[in-house]
Amino acid sequence: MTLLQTRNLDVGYRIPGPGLLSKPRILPIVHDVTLSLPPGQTLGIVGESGCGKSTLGRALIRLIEPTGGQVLWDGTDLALIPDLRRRRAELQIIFQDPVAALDPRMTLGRLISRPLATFQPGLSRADLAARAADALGRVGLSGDFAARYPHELSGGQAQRVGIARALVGRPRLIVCDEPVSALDVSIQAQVVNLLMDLQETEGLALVFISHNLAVVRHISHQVMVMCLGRVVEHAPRDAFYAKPLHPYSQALMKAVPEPDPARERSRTGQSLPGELASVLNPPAGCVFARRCPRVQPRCHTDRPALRDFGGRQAACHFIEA
Amino acid sequence: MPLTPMTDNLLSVRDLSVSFRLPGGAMTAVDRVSFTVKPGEVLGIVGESGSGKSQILFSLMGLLAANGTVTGRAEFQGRDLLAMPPKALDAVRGVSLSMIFQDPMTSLNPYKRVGDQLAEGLRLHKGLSRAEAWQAAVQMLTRVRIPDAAARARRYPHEFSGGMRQRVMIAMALLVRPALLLADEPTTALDVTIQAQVLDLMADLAREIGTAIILVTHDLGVVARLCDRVIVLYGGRIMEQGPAEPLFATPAHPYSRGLLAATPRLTDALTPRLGTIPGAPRSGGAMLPGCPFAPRCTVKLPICETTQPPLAPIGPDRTAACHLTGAA
Repeated sequence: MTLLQTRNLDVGYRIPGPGLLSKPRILPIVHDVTLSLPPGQTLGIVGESGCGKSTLGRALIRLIEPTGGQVLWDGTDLALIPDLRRRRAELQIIFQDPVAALDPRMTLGRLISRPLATFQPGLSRADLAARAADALGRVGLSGDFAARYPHELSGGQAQRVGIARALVGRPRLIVCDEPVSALDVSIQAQVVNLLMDLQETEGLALVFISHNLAVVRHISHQVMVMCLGRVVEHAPRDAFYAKPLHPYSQALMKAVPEPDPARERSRTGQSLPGELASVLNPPAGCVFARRCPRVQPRCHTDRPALRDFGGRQAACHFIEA
Repeated sequence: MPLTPMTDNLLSVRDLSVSFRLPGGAMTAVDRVSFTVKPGEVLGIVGESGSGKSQILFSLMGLLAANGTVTGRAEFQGRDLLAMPPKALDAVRGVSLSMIFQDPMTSLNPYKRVGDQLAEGLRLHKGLSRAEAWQAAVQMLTRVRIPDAAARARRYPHEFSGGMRQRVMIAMALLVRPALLLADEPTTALDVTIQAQVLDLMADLAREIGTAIILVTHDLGVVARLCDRVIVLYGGRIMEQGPAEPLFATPAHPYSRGLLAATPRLTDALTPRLGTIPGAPRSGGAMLPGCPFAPRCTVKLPICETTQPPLAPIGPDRTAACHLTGAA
């Protein structure tokens, strides 16, 4: 059973043409993403700056129009759902900086219940307040937060409010775009646990976008690694972390510093050279070729397709089946 | 009055306190912190928001905000940094004490070529000629692995990527071969593969030049990769201090244990949920009479709320401030 699915999804941004009077062009960001997420499961999307992970996340709930391919929501093409505005309650998103997403002049109660006015126009004031209080309770905040304002919140509380706001319409999917990156580690753990609890109790599907491989390991059922707009590896969580196949996944894994001095000492001096590539100047062949420690001449000219390796996929010419 | 150098320590900090005058009253950010750094040693100071970790560096560097006050002593190469007149401190900062920050863009001059910014310090503090200083700058850029350094030195900061800018900052800080480098979250804004490059570079250069480093970070992984010794800071006080390996292997303070349990890893057996510390880090307010961590501590005793635990020895070169682990 699948809740969210994409078929060969491409996403790009419209940018001005080269000349003053020339037509706008599409700058392609995300290429050819095919994925499938069952209800109640988490897809982790990892990658470094500019890999297109946030752009993909937004396209998954049609905050950005795809430039090619399809997003299927519960089997229906998202582009063909007539009243998407109302259905939005089902597909929610939370961001890295929740305070930026909250109007500073509104109380938290109003901020949280406001989406409901769109989703269910018939609700009374008392209903809205009750639903907001209920959502606050589900994210572990007391009801008196409803009367407070965004500036009174700590970072962790603000993210809880962001989650409450996503929860209030009873969503089936929440796209989480770096939701814990700005939080202190003790608070990060609280928020990750909260998301896992909510998934369990409400059967939520999550798309968890992060640069932090360790957090993604903790929360995800499947993991997708992106590099310069392309999926280079996609695998079930345990298989991926036991043995990442793509050289880029391996490099990422090796680069993460772990709180273990003995292990870390043995790893210094092994960092991957080179800079992150830019979408403005994409390579003709493999997206990782310029930094890959196992690069061959063929990699610079011939883009490897995602190949199947027994229930998982990777895009590299030189992985043994 | 010159102080006599103490033992073999490069830096010896005694009872350092930092407080800020705020509209609502005084706020203590750092409370009687003492530690030492040996030549060539890498000391990590780890803590969450509001722990005071950055303020320790700012106070040593004479960079506290105007409403900040510092007390205590910080003996560096035999002189007290905190008691120095600004002119004398300037001379120390240019020559034997450097600092790098989380955001290199705010510390680089956008109107000046990178090479000129590097050379400036050498001309000012080491009296090199323009040509000599430029050459030394290019050499240093090569050493921090800026590709095509001679041409890159003629470029402006905005033409560098984030990782390259941080390497430029490191080049600038190490150009004068300082005895001590203060690094405030130097890799926090970088992508993980770029962070690994910068950490490797800092480790290499520290070894080559013999520079000691105080690295302030919230990331236990970064501490593990780079540091010989670690201070765990909470609410402006040292909770625990000791050599990195034993401290990570057997953390003594409940806060250190909580932090480690809350940090997800790539390798350990997965647990259904991450370990957590209830509540949130202290954000301002008055100092508590007891342990600053008591409000969040799950194993606290009545005494923890009323009496400050002293920092007491708990093992070879290790100390902790906890009523449960102390000498008792």
